[in-house]
Amino acid sequence: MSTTPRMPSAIDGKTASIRTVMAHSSAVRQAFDTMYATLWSNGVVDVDVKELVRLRNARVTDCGL
Amino acid sequence: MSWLVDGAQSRDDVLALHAPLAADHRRLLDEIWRSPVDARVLECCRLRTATILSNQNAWDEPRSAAAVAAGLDESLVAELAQWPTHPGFDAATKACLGLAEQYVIDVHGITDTQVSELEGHIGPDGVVTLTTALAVWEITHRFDNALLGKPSQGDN
Repeated sequence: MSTTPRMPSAIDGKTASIRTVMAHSSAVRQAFDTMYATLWSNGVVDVDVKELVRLRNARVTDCGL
Repeated sequence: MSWLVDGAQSRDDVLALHAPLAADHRRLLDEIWRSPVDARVLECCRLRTATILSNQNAWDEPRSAAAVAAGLDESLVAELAQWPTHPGFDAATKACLGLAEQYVIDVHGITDTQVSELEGHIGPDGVVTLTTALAVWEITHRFDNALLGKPSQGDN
């Protein structure tokens, strides 16, 4: 499991992180963020259930972030 | 078909149950296809991951319009399973397909060297775009498999 970014930050002065690396493709990142926000803020599934699913998925896929 | 929506014939029919999410999903895909990464390469990666994840729906639906406009070669698409040794796939395409396969088979097996080589071919923006695209397609393939399943014997 790698938690160290393999790509440099796209933003001068900022360390590499999932946010600053994704900024290399800003239009795609913006569209992704919009969809992600909708996923959390809309729909009939409770937010706490979504968070449980997110954490369980992270555990199953061995996501260190 | 889908057991969620009567008469559903496609992914869009099911996604329509959550219109705001469907619209954002569409916009994200549009941005991916509009990106500087060669749409023909992206389409090859989308179809290759569909094969690995057993999503026949992705093969049956129309090809990406962006990829077709860029000159997608169907004879090469037919040889997709042979990409590691087929001379029709150039080095950049092979690097992308290599990452695509590793992403869906064992994402933790991706190496620094692999990403560095890929960055040399398509740049950091391309790597981010391709990786995001792979994430979206993996979700889409699994969505199709889960919700657009063909009827089994027990579904009568």
